[in-house]
Amino acid sequence: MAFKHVLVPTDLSEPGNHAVRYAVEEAALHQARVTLLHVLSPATRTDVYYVTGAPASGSHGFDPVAGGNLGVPSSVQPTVVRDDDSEAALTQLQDLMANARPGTSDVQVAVGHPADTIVRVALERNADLIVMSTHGRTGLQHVLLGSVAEKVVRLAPCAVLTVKYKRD
Amino acid sequence: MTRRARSTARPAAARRPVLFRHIMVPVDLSDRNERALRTALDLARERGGRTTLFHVIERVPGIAPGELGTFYQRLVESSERRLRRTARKFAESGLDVRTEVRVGDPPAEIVRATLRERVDLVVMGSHKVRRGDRQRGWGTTSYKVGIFCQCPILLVK
Repeated sequence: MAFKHVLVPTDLSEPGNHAVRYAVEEAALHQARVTLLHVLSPATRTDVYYVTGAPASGSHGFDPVAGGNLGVPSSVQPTVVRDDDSEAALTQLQDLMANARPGTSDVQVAVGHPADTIVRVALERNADLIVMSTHGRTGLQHVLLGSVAEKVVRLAPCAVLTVKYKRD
Repeated sequence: MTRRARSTARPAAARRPVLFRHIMVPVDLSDRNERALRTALDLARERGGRTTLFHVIERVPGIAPGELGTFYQRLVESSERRLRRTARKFAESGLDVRTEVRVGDPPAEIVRATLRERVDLVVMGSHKVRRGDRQRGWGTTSYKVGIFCQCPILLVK
């Protein structure tokens, strides 16, 4: 029974990334694939900015003082600047996996509620192990803040390895 | 209450230091531990680590321990025997395996033992909680161990 596909969800925080090391080492031992997953909340948005340079006066377009041919479209193409959370997350995930064995890992960004989405991806990808960090809160703080890991443990179709994050 | 099964064979995989050299499997001596035990055996074989099989006898609440001294003693002895039978599979694979029986509150004893014995990984069985039934499982041993245990925990379904 060696693990074949390890899913590592991370919220990209320092405690969240703590489990990645364990997962990569465990996967290397089992010759398993690693999928690093980040779940974005459904409210995530993509900002797209169109940045257009002002056309040189007199060449094209209408100049209110000099006049000119109205209605001729500007030839300057707008530059599209995208500010996309999912792309930023992908880059961060790729950076985290930079020293994993090539060809044995991939990264994924999914949208949804964290625990449910993690379980869904585990099912879709046929993962047989989920490795994730817990923030290590206990007592009242634990009850109030809840824990994604806890929910995953309950609902996961496969084995779950939880790694407690200790700030040292 | 701790006993060590000696084996002549060297661990299969005593090659390099890896994670989880000391694995603990809390067992309730039911047939539900089968998967956790099998997983722990595989993990230990791969890395040639140490394994502790741990059983906690729950104390009957409201009765002074002294009154039930011999009762507990008998339970401890029979649990020891059953644990050692389970441990045989590990010893046969050439692994260093120990058994330990305690009397007390299971989650607390498990967490305490992980600290005392410097356990690197706890392997436990866990049941999948059905979606409409999320309240179940809140008071379980694995849930409590999950909160208080400082070392990584592998929950096997």
